[in-house]
Amino acid sequence: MVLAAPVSADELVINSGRQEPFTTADGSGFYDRLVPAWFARLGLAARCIRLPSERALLNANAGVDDGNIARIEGLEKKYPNIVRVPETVIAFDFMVFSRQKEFTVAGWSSLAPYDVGYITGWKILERNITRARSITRVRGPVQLFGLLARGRADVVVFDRWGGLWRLRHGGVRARMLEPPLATRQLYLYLNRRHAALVPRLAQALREMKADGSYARIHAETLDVLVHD
Amino acid sequence: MSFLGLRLGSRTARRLIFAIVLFSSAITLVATALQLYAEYRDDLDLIDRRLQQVRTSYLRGLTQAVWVTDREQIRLILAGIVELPDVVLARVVTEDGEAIAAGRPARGDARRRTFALDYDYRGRARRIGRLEVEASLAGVYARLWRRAWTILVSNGIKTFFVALFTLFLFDRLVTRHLARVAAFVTAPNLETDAPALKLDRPPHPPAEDDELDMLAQAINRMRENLQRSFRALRESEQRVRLLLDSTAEAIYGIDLAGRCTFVNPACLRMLGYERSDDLVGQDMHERIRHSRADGTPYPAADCAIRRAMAAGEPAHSDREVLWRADGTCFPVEWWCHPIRQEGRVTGAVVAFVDISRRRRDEAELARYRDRLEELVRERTEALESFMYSVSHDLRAPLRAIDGFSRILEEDHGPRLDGEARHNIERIRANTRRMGRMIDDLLNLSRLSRQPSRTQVVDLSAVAEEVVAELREREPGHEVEVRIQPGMQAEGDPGLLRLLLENLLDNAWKYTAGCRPAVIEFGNRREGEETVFFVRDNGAGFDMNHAEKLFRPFQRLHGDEFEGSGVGLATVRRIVQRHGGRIRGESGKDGTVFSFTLPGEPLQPPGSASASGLN
Repeated sequence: MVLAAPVSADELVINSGRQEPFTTADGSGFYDRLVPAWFARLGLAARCIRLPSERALLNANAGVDDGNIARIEGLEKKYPNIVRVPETVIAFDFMVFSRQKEFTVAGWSSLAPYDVGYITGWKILERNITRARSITRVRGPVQLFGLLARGRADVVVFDRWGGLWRLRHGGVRARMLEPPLATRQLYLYLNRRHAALVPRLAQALREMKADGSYARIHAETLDVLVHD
Repeated sequence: MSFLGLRLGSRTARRLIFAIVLFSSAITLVATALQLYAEYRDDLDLIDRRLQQVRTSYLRGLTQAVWVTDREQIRLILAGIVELPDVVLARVVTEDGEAIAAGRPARGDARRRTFALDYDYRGRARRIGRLEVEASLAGVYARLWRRAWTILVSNGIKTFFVALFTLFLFDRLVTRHLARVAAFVTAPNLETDAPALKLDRPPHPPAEDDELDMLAQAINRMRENLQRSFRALRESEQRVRLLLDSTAEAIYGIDLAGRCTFVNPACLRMLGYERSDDLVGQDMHERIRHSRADGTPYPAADCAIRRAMAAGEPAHSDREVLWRADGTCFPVEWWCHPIRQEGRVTGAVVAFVDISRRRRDEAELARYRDRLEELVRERTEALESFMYSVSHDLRAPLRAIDGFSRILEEDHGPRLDGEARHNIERIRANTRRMGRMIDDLLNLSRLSRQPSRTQVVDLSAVAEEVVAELREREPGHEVEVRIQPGMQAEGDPGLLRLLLENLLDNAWKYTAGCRPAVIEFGNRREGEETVFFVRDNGAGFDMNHAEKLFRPFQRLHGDEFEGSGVGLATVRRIVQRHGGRIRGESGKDGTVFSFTLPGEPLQPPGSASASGLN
């Protein structure tokens, strides 16, 4: 991942609001690797850079960057200058992480007895986690898992791969409880000026999924967090 | 009115206070306004610095927060900005139009700043929003008002005490002395030697005198001068009063409306009034019925005194009458002199005298004169009648003497010796001479008895005729005669001819021995009169006996010039009968007889013309 570094004029810049393990400082995150490979199939140079989540969308919408990866569908309403590539980049699982509690997640209500923490701005969580012993909203994953580490929350809600990366690299001893509270499919959005690329990119991604190149990148960047 | 013993009633003090308060208030207002304006500018500068401080202190963090869309952080930062003094609103508007604000918009005036939120991204500054900050001026105004009130109240109090103190000083140093000066000047006693003005001030050497001391000294000098003038005026007035009271002439004064302003006792006495109040204030023209000589009144508008006063000219008359209080009138001679003050006529002084006695004397004199003239006329007529009778009666024996002398000479001449013949000749010569004398006497006597007629006579023509006769009578006498042509006069033609015959014959006779002999007849203007003259360069006469010239039978020469001695007496009688005058003058340049004929038509004098030599 390149953090807002200058790019050549011909290289497309796809930003992402996600951190590790999707984007990393050394460019070895899932998106870091997927994006160049994906666009290369169209003969285009592209790379992924990390931005604050909403900034990433704003930049893509404003045309500052060429696109944003990866977001749930339906953002075109709020950001009219972006178009979605209708091929799922990855599934986003909202997972429960806990140090001490261990229970089978059975919907949002199963969080009701606990002190819950999540990151401010995650709309799905704000809508659904309405009943809990206490709810603490924090600004980012560091603070979120800090809550968990300090016992200030029984459970925190985060995405699967991000949570696993935090558990591995954050020194927090906790478990991820299955199943996910919810799952959303995430897509690549391009600025409208690249709308012509959309069908080809969708096709290319399907081809990557079909020929195993997508699975390889997934395995080398995400799955390792489970297996190691 | 007084306050703490100060003379607040003094207009000067009130004006001083008013001026001090006004000036001080004006200065205070101006100073306050300047001060407030400076403070206002300072406050605005302070607000501007605070707004600048927002740029330096908050803009970077805020840009970062906007970049990462950290709304909480944005709000936190905006809240911090709003906490700054006077800042009432901080608002971020992002590139996509989202607005996050803290505080409320200002009511009323405000200072506003907008800061661009630029984020350096991928080597380029990108505009991601803007920060709007609004600082209300309400606080500035509130501070200014508080400050203004504080300054105004404090200055008002200061001004009051300064004015009070100034008033005190002014009263002590000036006003009370001025009041004393005013009281002294208001009631000056010029008739007595009252003490001089002295101010209530500590004694000090003259070198330390200030303006008030000089004022007091000036007033004392002025008072002394006034006192001297007043006394001189009073003495002058007493003299004038004495003059007015003692003079026998009546004198009164009138103003421009003709009202009496004063009268002297003589005036009261002549007009028959007892007190001056009877006349003072009255319209004198009406009161004393200033009238024409015959006693008929005329309107005040025609009054010569009024007219003289209006014209500012002196006037005089002795042909009018005034009326006494008892209804009788008397003739007066009056003199009117206008009174001038600063070049303007303010009235007149009229002096008059009662000329009743003079009128009576004049009438008496006229009667005597008429009587005398009657007597003279009667006696002259008697004398002339006698002269005519004598002359006429003398002619017969004279003719007998002459006749018998001629018979004697013719019949017995050859038998007589030379001496006897010579004596007969002398008898005949004297008989002829006596005959001419009788003729002249008869002419002279006829002048008074014969009536005269008046018509225009061409004197030049008459003179030419007379000269022609003279030349014919004595052709051997060469005389240059110059007669001014066109001379005319009104008179009796016969008498005027006789007049010129006598004068020219006289001149002809007395130029007998002259070479050349010159006779001139002309006229000249002397004032309103035309004076005729007959001039010759012949033998003159002794001016010491000039008064005898015109008497009958008075001859100033011996027998070398023939004559009866009646010619010039005849000439004078003719001139007098025409109402004229005659005089004779003799000197080295010759003799000239000048006469006037009042009835003569006016003619411009011309140059004489020579009638030639004979």
